[in-house]
Amino acid sequence: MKRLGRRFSLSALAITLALPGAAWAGDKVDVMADVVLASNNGTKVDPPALEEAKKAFAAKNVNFSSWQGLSQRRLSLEPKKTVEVPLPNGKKAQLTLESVTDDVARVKVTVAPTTTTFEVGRSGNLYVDGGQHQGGQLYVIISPALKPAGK
Amino acid sequence: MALNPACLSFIPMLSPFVDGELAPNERVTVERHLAVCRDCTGRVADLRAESAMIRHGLDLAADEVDFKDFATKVMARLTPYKPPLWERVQITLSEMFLYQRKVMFASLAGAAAVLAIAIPTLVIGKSTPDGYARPMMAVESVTTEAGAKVTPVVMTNEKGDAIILMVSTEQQVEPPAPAPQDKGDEGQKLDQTKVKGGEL
Repeated sequence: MKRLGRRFSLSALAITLALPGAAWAGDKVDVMADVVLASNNGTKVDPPALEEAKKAFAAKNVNFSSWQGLSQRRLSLEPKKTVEVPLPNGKKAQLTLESVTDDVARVKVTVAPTTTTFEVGRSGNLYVDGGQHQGGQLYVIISPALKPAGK
Repeated sequence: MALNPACLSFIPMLSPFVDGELAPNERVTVERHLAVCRDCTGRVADLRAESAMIRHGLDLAADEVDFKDFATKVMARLTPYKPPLWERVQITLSEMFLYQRKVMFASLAGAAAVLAIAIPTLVIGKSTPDGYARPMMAVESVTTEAGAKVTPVVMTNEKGDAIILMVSTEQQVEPPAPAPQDKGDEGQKLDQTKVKGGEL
């Protein structure tokens, strides 16, 4: 019984020590993936949050008068697993979590024929060319998903 | 053969006499009778011989039995008593606090210390989700498939935005300089290819 007691206390200690490690072991990385259509047909910017994209492009002398959000998805990326985002022009964006080193996530996004590798950050957006569609240009906007899902 | 009347009272006492079960005064009385009675002396001799034979027979019977692992076999056939879970927990806890107080307090202190470090780290320090240690997005590389007739142009700003445009190499008058990641002079690069919004 004495041995049993010692085993019990050691098990409790081991579990206590292991819990934080187990909680820390989650290596999923969430990002937002928006598909938007930028064009010069009209001046509509919908949703208004795309004004930020419009300004960012305008600052680089790339001017689109109309920005239209087509889809928005929260992607939960797991290491070495590819998540696909379909584009309305038949293409698709493929996102893969390459690695998480020192809590820095490295993600690969492929929209044929281009593959971009980037490190996820708490601010900034990544605008990836998605090809032409209905006289405009599709962009996949990868942005941080800092808020928990569902909020 | 007719019995000596004196023997009638001694015969029931002979077997206890041989077995040593008589009181001292009875034993003396029987010994006095045996000294003068040849028949009872013979009966006592018979009883002793019979007792010796029985004992010898039992010894022989016992020798034939294998008593090796006897105790183990008996214990194996016994069903161990398993008290209910709650009772076992109570016993364990009471024994731990009674006999292993130091180990228990050391374990609890260790667990408390670990929790004291882990909880702030996990709850308070974990204000950002996993993978977001970088303050801003950072493009590492942009590559195109072999044979693709486009050149990627990367434009970044101080907010961490990165715009990746595909510029068709077929429309270019001059051959494009290879610029897989142009962070310094992106706007100018775009102007060189004469790209305008919506005309990529």
